[in-house]
Amino acid sequence: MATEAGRDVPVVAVGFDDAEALGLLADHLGWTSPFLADPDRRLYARLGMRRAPWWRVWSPRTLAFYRRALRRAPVPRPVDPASVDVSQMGGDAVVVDGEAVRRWLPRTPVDRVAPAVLVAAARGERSDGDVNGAQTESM
Amino acid sequence: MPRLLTDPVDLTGLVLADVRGGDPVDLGSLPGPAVLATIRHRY
Repeated sequence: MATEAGRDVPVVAVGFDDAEALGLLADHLGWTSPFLADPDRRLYARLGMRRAPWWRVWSPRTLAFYRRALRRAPVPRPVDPASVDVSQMGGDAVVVDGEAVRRWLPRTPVDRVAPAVLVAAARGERSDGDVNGAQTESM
Repeated sequence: MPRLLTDPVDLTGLVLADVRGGDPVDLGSLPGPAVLATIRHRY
């Protein structure tokens, strides 16, 4: 995604693991844009990205997705699997001048919005809920 | 499908370290537009 979208829209990745582990992941992915560490999950909290209940984390669809992903591109295994917080959800946002103006909050771990949709929204192209394939809500 | 929320969230005061030793990034000063992709765990 960084290489596709980063040509005209900056894409900043954020993870909650420690910086060293995330650095290895960034190298593994060939990520060329900024990759930030948020170990206290302050950004996650501010954007409303919470932990998912177990029935969403361990759903058959999620397990199938990760099985396929591991076959395609294995990633380094954790030193201590018990330390991995699999319940923390991620998500995506468009930021304009220091404000997140659109946030996509997944309902399951594999429920992410397409990169092309994010880039289009950031460019100010059509970004209503129907076009995004997401239900629009405001809080 | 993900929920799309459109109420603005101020990112002022959120300064996060770059994982490869680059300069910390102040998300409240990010020139827009930009995409923030927050991941789950690293594995």
